[in-house]
Parts: sequence; C-alpha cells; structure tokens
Amino acid sequence: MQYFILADPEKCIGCRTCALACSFEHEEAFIPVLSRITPLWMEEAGRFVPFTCQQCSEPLCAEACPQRAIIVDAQTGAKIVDDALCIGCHSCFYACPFGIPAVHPSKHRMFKCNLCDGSPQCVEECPREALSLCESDEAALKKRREAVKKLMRLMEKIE
Amino acid sequence: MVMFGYTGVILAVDLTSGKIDKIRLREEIARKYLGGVGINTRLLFDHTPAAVDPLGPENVLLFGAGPLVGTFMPTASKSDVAAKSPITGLFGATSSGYLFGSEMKYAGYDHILIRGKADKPVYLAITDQAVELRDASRLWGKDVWDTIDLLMQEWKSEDIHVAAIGPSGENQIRYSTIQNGKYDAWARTGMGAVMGSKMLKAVVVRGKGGVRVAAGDDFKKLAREMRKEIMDSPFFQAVSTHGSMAATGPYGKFGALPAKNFQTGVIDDWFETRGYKVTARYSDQMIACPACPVGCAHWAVVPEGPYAGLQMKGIEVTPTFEIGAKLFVHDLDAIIKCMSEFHRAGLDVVSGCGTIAMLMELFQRKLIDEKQIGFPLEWGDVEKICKLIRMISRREGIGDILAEGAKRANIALTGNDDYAITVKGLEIPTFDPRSRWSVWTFGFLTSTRGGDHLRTRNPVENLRFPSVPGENYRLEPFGFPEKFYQKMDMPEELKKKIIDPEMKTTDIVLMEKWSEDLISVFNSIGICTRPPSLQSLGPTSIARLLQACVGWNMDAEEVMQAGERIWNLQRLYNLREGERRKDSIFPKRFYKDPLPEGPAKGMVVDAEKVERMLDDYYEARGWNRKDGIPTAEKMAELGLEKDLSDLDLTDVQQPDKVPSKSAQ
Repeated sequence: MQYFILADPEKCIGCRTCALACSFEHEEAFIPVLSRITPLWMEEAGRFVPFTCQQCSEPLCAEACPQRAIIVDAQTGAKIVDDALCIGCHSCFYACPFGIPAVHPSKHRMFKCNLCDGSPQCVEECPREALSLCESDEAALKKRREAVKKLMRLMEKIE
Repeated sequence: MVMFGYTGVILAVDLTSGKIDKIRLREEIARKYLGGVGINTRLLFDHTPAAVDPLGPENVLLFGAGPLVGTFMPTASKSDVAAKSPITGLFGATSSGYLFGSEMKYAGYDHILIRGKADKPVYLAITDQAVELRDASRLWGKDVWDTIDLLMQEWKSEDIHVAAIGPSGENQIRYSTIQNGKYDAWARTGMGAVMGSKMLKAVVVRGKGGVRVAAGDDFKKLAREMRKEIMDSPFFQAVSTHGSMAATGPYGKFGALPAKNFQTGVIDDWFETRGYKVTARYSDQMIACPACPVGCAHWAVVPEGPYAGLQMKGIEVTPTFEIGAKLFVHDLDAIIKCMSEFHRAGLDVVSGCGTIAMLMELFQRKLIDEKQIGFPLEWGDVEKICKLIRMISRREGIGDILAEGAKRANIALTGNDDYAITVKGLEIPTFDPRSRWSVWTFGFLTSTRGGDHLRTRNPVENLRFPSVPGENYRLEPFGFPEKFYQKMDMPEELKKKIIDPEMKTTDIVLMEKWSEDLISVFNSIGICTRPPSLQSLGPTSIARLLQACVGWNMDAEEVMQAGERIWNLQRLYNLREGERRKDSIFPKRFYKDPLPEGPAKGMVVDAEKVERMLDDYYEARGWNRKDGIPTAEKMAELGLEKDLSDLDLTDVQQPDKVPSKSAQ
C-alpha cells in the first residue's frame, strides 16, 4: 500500500490539534516543535495548510541518506527512519524539497511522519476532518469530486 | 517533584534591579487556586500592599496559564493577566486565547510575576535556555504591529510569540491593552498601562518544551469526549459559522444595542449593515485558538472601498456593538478600520468607545464646543474616531483628558459624570440592562472587575428570548428544551432552586453566583468561556479532566469551591482597596431615562429591586447581607480566614495620580 496524509486547507481552522496529537503520540508530551505535522498560516492566501511528509514515491531523503537509514514500511508505504542506522547528518533535510526531515534535539536522530503504523493520530483527532489517510488514486478521485462540486456551484450561478 | 499539567515554575522578574528568579509553584497553592486567574489572584493579593499605586513600581503584573493550557483539551488556550487596575483602582484581570499561554508553558513557566520599573525601555525575552531583559529603546513609540514586525526581524523568526504594548500603554492610558500577537489582546482593566508604567514594551516567548499529563490514555479519551460535547452543543454551528457575530441578531431585535452611548437601543438598518450575514463579504476562513474545534474568529480582508486590502483576524460582536452602535459607525468595513487602529494603538475597544461616545454625547448636547475638541465631532465619523484613537494613545490635545477614561474625563470636562456609562469606573460593554435584564447585566454590578460581561454568563441563556424585567427581577427567561437543562452539569438540588422548568426561567441571583464561580474555574484551568464550552463543561467533567491531567483525586464540589475561593479572594482584595456596596450601582441614565423606542420602549432599571437583589446575592454568597463583607464562617469554609482577619476596612486613601502630560 502507498498511503499519505491528504490535507484540505479549506476545512482547516488552524487549531493545531493535529500537531498536539502527533507529539503526544510520539513524544508522550504536548510539544508542538517536535510534531511531525505543522499547520502553517499562509497570510497571503488567508488559509492554514497542515503540512507533513508527502511519502514520496521516489523519496529524495532516502536517496541522499549515506547510511541507507530511510526505509519503506511494507504495510503503509511510509518512509521511515531506522534509528540504529541514522547518524543525524541532515543529508535528508537538504535533499527534501519540503523541509520535512529534522533531527530530534535529544535523540539526535532524524524524525518525521511514519503514519503511526496506519492509524495517524493527527487524522484521528482533527475535529474538522481536514486530514485523511489516503491512497493516491483514491485521493485523486476525492479531489476530483470536490472540484466538480465547485464547478457545479459555478454552473448554477451562470445559469 | 514533577508536576503534571503544570510546569511547576513561576518566573519572577524585578525590573528595578534586573534580577530574575525562578520560584517553585507549591502544589497546595495550585490545588486551591488552580492556575490562570486563580493563582494570579493569590499572587496579586500577597505581593502588593493595600492602596498601592497601580502605575507605580510596587504594583505587580502577572501572566498565568493553567494546567490544561498547551494540551489538546478542547479550547484550553487561555491565559490571564492581572494587576491592580489603573482604571478602577480595584482587582484588574483580563484573559486572552491564541498562542501566548501555551508558548509560555512550553518555555517552562506557569506564571510570570513582574515588579519594579526599568530605568529605560526594555523587553523580556524568554526561551527554554534563557530569560533576559533586552533594550527596547528603538521599539518605544512604535505601534503594536510595527513592534511585532521589528521583533520578528530582530529574532529572525516568525515563530516567536509576542505580548506587546502600543503607544497607549507607554503613555499610561488607563485602559490600554497588552496585545497578544497582532489581533488578540488582554484588553480590559488597563493592564497595558501597568506594563507601560514599568517601561516594559514587550514579552517575547519561544518555548520548545512541552506539557506532560498524569494519565495519557484517560486524557486522550476525555479530550475526545469533550470535543464531541462541544461540537454537539446547540450553539456550536452558529458560533462556528458566524463567530460571536451570531449574537448581533438577538440584541438588535430586542432593542438592546448601546446606540449613541446608550441613548437608544434601536438602529433601523442594523441587520443589513452590521449583522452577522454581512461578514461573508470578507472571507470564509475561520480561525481557531490552539486546540479549539469551534474557530469563532474569522479572517477578514476588506475587498474594496477606502479600506480595500486591510486585513484582520476576528470580526467580533463586541467591537461591532462598540464601534457600530455606541459610536454609530455605519458599516463593517469602517468598523474593521477602527478596530485595526485600536489594535495598533493597544487600546481597549470597550473603554475606548465608552470614552469617545461620552465625548460625542457632550458635543451633541452642546456641553462642550468644537474649540475644546479641536474639530466638530458627529456620531459615526470614522475619520475623527481614528484621529481620536491616535490622540488618546499619544495624549495629544483633548486625548490627554480622554486618556483617563469616560468617568474621569467626563468630570474633568463638565464637572459631573452623567454621560460616563461605567460601573466602578469601568466602561460597560455592549448591552443595555434596561432592555435585557439577565445574569449578564446584573453581573455588571457584581463583577470583581467593574462594568464587565465576561466573568459571568448564564450557561442556559437563550438569546432568542428577550428578557424584559417583570415584577420579579430575579427571573431570566430561557427557552431550551427540557433535555438541555437536565443535562447541565450542576448538582440536582441546586438545579431545582435555580431553574424552573414550568415557567422556563432562571433565578438570576443564584445563577450569578454559580456562573461567577464556574467561570473563575474556566479562567484558571485555561478553557474558553464562550457558549459551546460553557454549556458543555461543568464541575463533574472538569474534575475528571484535572484527575487525568494533574493526577488529583478531586470531586465536583472541590472544583466549584476553588472557583468560589478565587472569587471571594477577589472580593477581599477589592474591599481592601476600598470598594463598598455603594459602588455597585449603574450610571444614572439606566435608572431615570426610559428607552425611547423599540421593543423595550419606556423601560428603566428599578433601583429598589436591584438593591434587593444585591441583598439576596450577598446572602447567597455567604456575605453580610447589608454591606457584602464575607462572613467569618464562609471564609473559614474556603480557607481564607486569615485574609479576612488581616483586612483593614477603614477607608483607604487611593492614590489617583494623573499620569497626564500636563502633570509631568
């Protein structure tokens, strides 16, 4: 399977519950700076974008890793880091176009979204259903459906 | 010892000596006063002598965030600021959501206690690693938005959180705010003036630590349960979609608007020009404080016209009433413009509009002339209002007199305070008590911070029904279905006394005490008091929250007793500072001028009936029925007996030094 977390900025209200739930799951405390998902306020657009790992099909982070520490989770397709191999060198950080991998300040290993083994806490706790765990083809269908709804509203206006 | 929920540390900063200390928060104090406004109350009481000058170095300025703040417990984002208030001379406190409270806890502090006065402008920089005072000379004189931009440049970070004062706070305008970021504020009772008197321009926080809880699985389960409760509340949809603007409708309909300084309650084109439906014009983006599923604030971008491109968070009901009705500004674009000026200056919109409205009425009645103001001043003149906001915040011209607040300024201009709509010196917000008599409006008299509507609220209030005071002043009608009040988290025996399901009424006196105590708890543990949470959470659920969060085995009774203790200590503080029963009085207008039009035409407030309700309220609180002084029995019950016996009730002489330019 190839899952990723699909964010819908039109539904997000910026409550940061995702980031709090994420750090609570992975750090056993509410520490937003150690969250694997960050809701970012884009003032120019007037929207929040909850931003996290896209679980790329060709993960540049994995390619850049000198230790080959970034592996694919067979069950979810998540790109996860093997703490035993990781040396915290930031190569993945430089390679990732989205600024996702970061080095944990006390564990000194890279940390990023691992899809919580298939039940991502950010998705489960989001009160606005702005996040969902999707396979790519399904995500595309979902997005097309939303787009058509918008188009239809537009058509109604024209008629 | 590790505390859960709390960081266990109070940061103490002496600006005179520059000394910075970390004080341990004692668990006993935490359990008795919970956090936020509760612990702030205890600290203010203990760290200031009686009759301290609110704008002198001996006053203390307190920031506090309770045990739930920083977690994902729904709506737990609130922090409270307290100090002796320069506008009332009494207990000053104000609460704000957004990011500062959680950030302060991530940096490692439950409370910040600031005393003394710096000899030049400084700001306080707090990170996990260090706390230091830094030079703020180049920030002094800058408005709030510019200050925040400059600090972000200095720190090379958009992730710092800033509490800052504007020119108003610097010039010690008695109703200055401390802004919590650009668009939120600790607005009421003049805490920004206290900060300015200390030469403290800003507090910058960047926290990278976290908040731990005692029982993680239970906490997560409870958070989900509470989120569901809040989202199932009958108010959720309306507040979530329209924010607080949902309330513009009912008050317009009742004729309870504060139009033209409470001269009338009716504005004919209110709904079309200033109602909640108009907000759709600005954006469809809701904005939530941390952990809140409601998202009552809205992002606003003015699309066209003279203010095109102006951006702001939160078209809120209170500024809409204040600017749109009190000052009679006709459209929401212009209201947003005025609001942005208040934010930038760091001035409280309620007291600011109360003061400007007083001036406008004096001009309307020809009690002052154009020369005294410097220009003619008609109702709703946006340009002049913005000009006055700037003049007040810089104490220019008549701004120097208005800087003292409606009551003092009215006296200075005409020798009486007939047009200052205040209680205990604090400008009354938003609703006219003549047309809607309720827990809310009676609360203007009983609130420990003066004319204020945010420290009490009837959880089963229903704004669909007007509340015209009848023969029995004690009753407020409500119209919720039976299952709703049956579900309300209140001991059954008390519920029987407060709510009459046959008559569909609430007993205002008993509900006043209940909601003041309950909201004291909310403001202490850090959850929001807006209807979706106020209606959904009560002492039983809060006891469970505290058990999972802190690990205390508390019951509902202990929770409510903590709220009662906090409120009573505020009462003792105010008695110590000279408040007496005679101060719980409305401005003359509400007793003698009948409303001229609308559904409440002809209504006034009946002074005699209100006095009888005060008797009953004092009795319900376990205070002396005649003068509202807490009884020894009640104080022993709450563990405040020593505070009562130390109380000196001989009349204190309050310092009322005028910080005006002419006096300097």
